[in-house]
Amino acid sequence: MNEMNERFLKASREWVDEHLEACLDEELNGPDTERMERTLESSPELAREMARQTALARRIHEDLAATPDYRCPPVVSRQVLARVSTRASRAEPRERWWSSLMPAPAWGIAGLAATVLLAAGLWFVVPQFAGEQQEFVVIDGQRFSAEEIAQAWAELELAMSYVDHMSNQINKQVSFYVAGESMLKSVNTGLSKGASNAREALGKMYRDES
Amino acid sequence: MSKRFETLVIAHQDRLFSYATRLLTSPGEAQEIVQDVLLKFWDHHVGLSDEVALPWLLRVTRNACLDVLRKRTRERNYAMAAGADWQEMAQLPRTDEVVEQTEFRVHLEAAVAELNEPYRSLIILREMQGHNYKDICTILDLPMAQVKSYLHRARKRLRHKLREYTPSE
Repeated sequence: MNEMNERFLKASREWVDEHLEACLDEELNGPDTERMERTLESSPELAREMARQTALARRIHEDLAATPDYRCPPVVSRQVLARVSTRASRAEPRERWWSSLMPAPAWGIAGLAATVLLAAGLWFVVPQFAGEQQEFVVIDGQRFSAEEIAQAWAELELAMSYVDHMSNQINKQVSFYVAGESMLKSVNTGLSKGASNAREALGKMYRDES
Repeated sequence: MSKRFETLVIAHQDRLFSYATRLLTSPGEAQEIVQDVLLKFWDHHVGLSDEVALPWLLRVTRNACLDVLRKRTRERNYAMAAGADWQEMAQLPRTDEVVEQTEFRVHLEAAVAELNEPYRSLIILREMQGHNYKDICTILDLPMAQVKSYLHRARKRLRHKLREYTPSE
């Protein structure tokens, strides 16, 4: 009976010890709070032990809370601020020589005006912007201007007239040959006819004489 | 340089230095880390509101301190065991000199320094510096439930280390 009591007491002490911090922080859940109360009520010895542990825990807690921070040597912040200040000044944009001539907004307006003037100049000077759009014809991936095309037409017309001329010459020669051939044919026909007539006349003469 | 940045540096430098010194138990290294963190803060401060500036600073400070602690572990250079830094720490000026340095308080700070992460950070941030749970979750990158559970464990470990101070009946 005594041994059982001791074993129960030991288990209870371990359980209380395990849950003491949660109990001090008031973080025990409902069933555990009831068990803690029941355990402490059932054992005056455990209740006394719990009171002593609670006192120690509170002392630790209070002393830790009252322990002040160490003071950081002032050199740390001094060096950090100095180095950061150097970095910051490097990161800032440097003063340019032209900024002394005019303030930044004036440079902006001047830049805008220069852009407008340049665009207007391009519009009037460059023909494609002024409405005189040059036409291009692309043939086999090659661009030809109107002038080039006109020149090509002129050359083509010259070539065609030459071809016409040559064609006429050829036609004339052909007709001449044709006429000559027919003439020869007539001469031939005339000769062959004259020869047969002569043959017939000679034959007749021969027959008459004989 | 912005006035806001300067104000935030002046306002938070003690807190950062204190946190770093307690994590590293080495004021010299803490000083270097705080300086680096504040220079990083210059690059980010424009995008951070005043409310999130301190949790951000503490988080970056903690990560930098953890890097130093990892390096120490690799090099087997346990500065805490040397004791020299403890003397230096004891002489460091505090933001409030009124509090008496009792024997219990000295042992308490030593006990905090012996805690492992994240328990040490939790005790410093919650018990010493009084940050709310939400900020602590941000600084330690932990969920709320884990923060509370770890904090209970950290307090229990502290109580165990300081059990000789348990009041007698």
